[in-house]
Amino acid sequence: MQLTIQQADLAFAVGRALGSVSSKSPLPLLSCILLEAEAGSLRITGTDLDVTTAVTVPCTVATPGRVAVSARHFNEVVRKMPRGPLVLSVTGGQCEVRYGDGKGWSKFPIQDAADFPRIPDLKADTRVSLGGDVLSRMVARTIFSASSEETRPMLNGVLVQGGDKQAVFVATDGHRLSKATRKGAFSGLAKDGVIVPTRAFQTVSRIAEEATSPVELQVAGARNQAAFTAQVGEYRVQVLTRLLEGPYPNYEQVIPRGNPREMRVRRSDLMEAVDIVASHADNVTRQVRFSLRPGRIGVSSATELGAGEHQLDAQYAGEAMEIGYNAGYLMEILRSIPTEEVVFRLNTSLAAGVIEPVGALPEAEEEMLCLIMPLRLPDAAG
Amino acid sequence: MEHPIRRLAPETATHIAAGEVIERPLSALKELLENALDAGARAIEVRVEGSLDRGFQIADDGVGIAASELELALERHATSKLRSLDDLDRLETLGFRGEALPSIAAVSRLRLTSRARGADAASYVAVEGGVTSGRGDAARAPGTTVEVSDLFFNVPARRKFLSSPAGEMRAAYRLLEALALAFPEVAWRMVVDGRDRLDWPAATSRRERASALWGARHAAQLLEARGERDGLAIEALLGLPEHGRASRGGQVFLVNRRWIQSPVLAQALRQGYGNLLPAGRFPAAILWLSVPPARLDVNVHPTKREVRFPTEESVFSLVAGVCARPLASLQPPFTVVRGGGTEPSWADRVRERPANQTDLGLESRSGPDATAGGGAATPAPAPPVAGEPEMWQLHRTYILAPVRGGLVIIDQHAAHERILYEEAFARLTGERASSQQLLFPAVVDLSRDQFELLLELGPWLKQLGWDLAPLGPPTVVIQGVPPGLRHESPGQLLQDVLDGVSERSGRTAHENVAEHLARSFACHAATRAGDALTLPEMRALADRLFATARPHGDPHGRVTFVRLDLDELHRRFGR
Repeated sequence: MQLTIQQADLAFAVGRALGSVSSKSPLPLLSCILLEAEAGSLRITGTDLDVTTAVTVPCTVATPGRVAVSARHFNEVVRKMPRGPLVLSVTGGQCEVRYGDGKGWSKFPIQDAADFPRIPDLKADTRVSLGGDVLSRMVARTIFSASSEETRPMLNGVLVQGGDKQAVFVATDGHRLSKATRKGAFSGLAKDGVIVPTRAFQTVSRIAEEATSPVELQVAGARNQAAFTAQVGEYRVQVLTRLLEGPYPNYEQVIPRGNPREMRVRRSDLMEAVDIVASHADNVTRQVRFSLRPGRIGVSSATELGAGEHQLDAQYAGEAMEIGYNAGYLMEILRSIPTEEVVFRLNTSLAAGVIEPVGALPEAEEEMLCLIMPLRLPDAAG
Repeated sequence: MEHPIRRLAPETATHIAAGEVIERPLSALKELLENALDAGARAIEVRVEGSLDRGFQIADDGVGIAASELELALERHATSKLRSLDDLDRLETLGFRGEALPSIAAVSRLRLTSRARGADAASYVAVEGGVTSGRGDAARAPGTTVEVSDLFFNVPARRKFLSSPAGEMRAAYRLLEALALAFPEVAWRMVVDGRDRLDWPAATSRRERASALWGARHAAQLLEARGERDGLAIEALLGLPEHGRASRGGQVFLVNRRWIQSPVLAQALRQGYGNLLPAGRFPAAILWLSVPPARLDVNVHPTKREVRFPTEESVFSLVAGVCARPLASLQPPFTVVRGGGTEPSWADRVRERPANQTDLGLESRSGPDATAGGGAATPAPAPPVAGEPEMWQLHRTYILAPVRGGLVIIDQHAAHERILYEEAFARLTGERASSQQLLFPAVVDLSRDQFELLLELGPWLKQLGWDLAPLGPPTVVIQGVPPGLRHESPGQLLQDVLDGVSERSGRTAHENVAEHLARSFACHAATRAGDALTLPEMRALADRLFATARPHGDPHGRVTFVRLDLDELHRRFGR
């Protein structure tokens, strides 16, 4: 194997592929990346068996071939090399990279590429494309609600649903839920959707942000695998992931439609209040208390660490009400909403509350909604 | 001689014997239910007023007792089930000693009403403390009714040691479940204080009965196994490994329709599950064994809850083999080896240390006196130094935290258990905990005794932060959980906690409910060895541990941390 490649191109490919290499793996080969050179391009692949990233970059190939090298070490060295053409070759059981027109070289031990896990070909039967910015926004508006508990694996990801009118992203851990929609025809994706693991979406989201083309999502016929493919300038990046097995809970059923009490508040004021007061909150329950009164709300917390209270103006006309929340959940929800004001639609102090932006989102075709389950306060009735 | 040897008066002898057979209200219920079954009953109804010791009655539609034999039935060693010692080897009935009725009659007020099949009328006899107090005619369809009230009214010493009425009722539910599984063709009904608590119509199969007991959803998931060898036959319904429990509470062993306890069968069953279950979890399963009567010794224990198998090895291998078969197709739900293979390259060299240096003597240096210590124990070391908040997790089991002048090594499970125990105890005796409400309430099917315990512990569980809505046996809906739980599914955790309480509290449930519940909750909700922790989690754990009243030991008295002094390290390196 021998090829000539620009340092920037190689560094990009290695860096992105490294994103899917797990830092501790029992299989030595899984801490490697696979380099495959053929006609005019180099493909670099990293995988942890669940999520695989493959990056294809242009180069001049003298001799095609495949080789596996230690991902972290190779990346460390390559990104420090001077810009300009590099000559990469495999000789005498080592991978050699020459740089700076004879100025220097580095050699890396190689592993047998034949043992590298075979990346399955995706037999896609559905495909749909989303703008890179749209995808990364939809992910950012939902992913924080996904669960990390092992007991209900279907919640360890984001549900992605299509249809003729809209695409819907949903995540929940059973304590809160977030939902983002984008209007448009996404009929390539079924209505009951697929569940993309959180970790795959973290990788995809980073690529979607820098993508110069729409991101194409392909789903395997067996619904067990999906691939996200995008162009980043001259580079082609593909993230392959195992999909999570459902069924996903019927989330529509738990979104309350007629919550009678409405409370509007400036988002930044509320975030400030919760942030300060939560410093006193129990570090496990993260409990803060909302005291709703006409025209204002109080946010308070008291533990052996200390106590605090913060009053802020709010549009609220309902009767006085006390409700407890996990400050961590609340802050993540508030951070995800881009509008200046937010509205809480509440029922009782034990029932699901809806938090929504007030007014349109910056992108007219998009909508979002969050649910949060309260903490029952110790002095609450019932 | 001041105390010459005398033959005991017959009443005294009966009294003493009664104490062995009828040791608690439950045993009276059990003996009488067995009598009903031995009489060939197809429908049995149990009525309880208040509690078992206050009064209960059992009515059956069995063969009945002839009027002329009623009083004989109340005499010791009078039975229709056995004529000679040889009959013991051909025993097909549950009872055989002729002890039960007279024993119960000796320690209660008892009324026996019966009409033999073919007889025109029924008659009754009433007994108080073993003395006949009335007899006469009565009206009744063929069959027998036994009414027992004021148990142990004449044995005040025994009354003092009775367990809580609620605990006894839970045991009664377990007994009825077991007998109902042993006799699926019999219709069972239980009415407590006028309310229908159990109603199981006669079933045509064991699975159908299991379905009536536990709900169709749960029963449908049970795996079937059967096998036969050398005259031994076994049939089993096996719970899936993920339904394994924290105690043996989910196991029912029936040998020749007799509900027994057997370490041999429990081990054989566990062996059948192999590595499908992690250590400390027990399969839920029902085993029906039939053994030729001649090869089984049932006369081992007064309560007949134990039997002796002539060839334990063959029973063991048959049961383990038969149970393993349907389970073999299941994948292990967890990986047996966790996080291996990532040791640093110098790890081997560390192991080359000379053998005589292995004893670091860490435990003795910190000298923690665990839970017994109290105020006088060694003070807790200063919590980790501010500005040096690094901590590391070692083998996903220990947390290494630098402190002034040394290093503290914390056992993550023991430490978390101590924290949760104190928090739970504080909540049970003080302000109620908040409760994280669930978006998708979890529906859990409990066993009957778990369900009763849940009703009993309701207010306490609420104090801990559980928000539960019992739908009616055996289903409960979990609407809210104590905040900050990790890993466990709420339903599994609730079952484990209930099992833990019933195992620990046994028959004295009411005395230390808070204590037992706090221990069980702490034990099951605590993070385990093998759980990866993030840095903030490790810091929170260490902070909370040293904020507890007794950070040195967990509630079982195990050490939660050891301290390694810098001086000690310096000495080891010869500095």
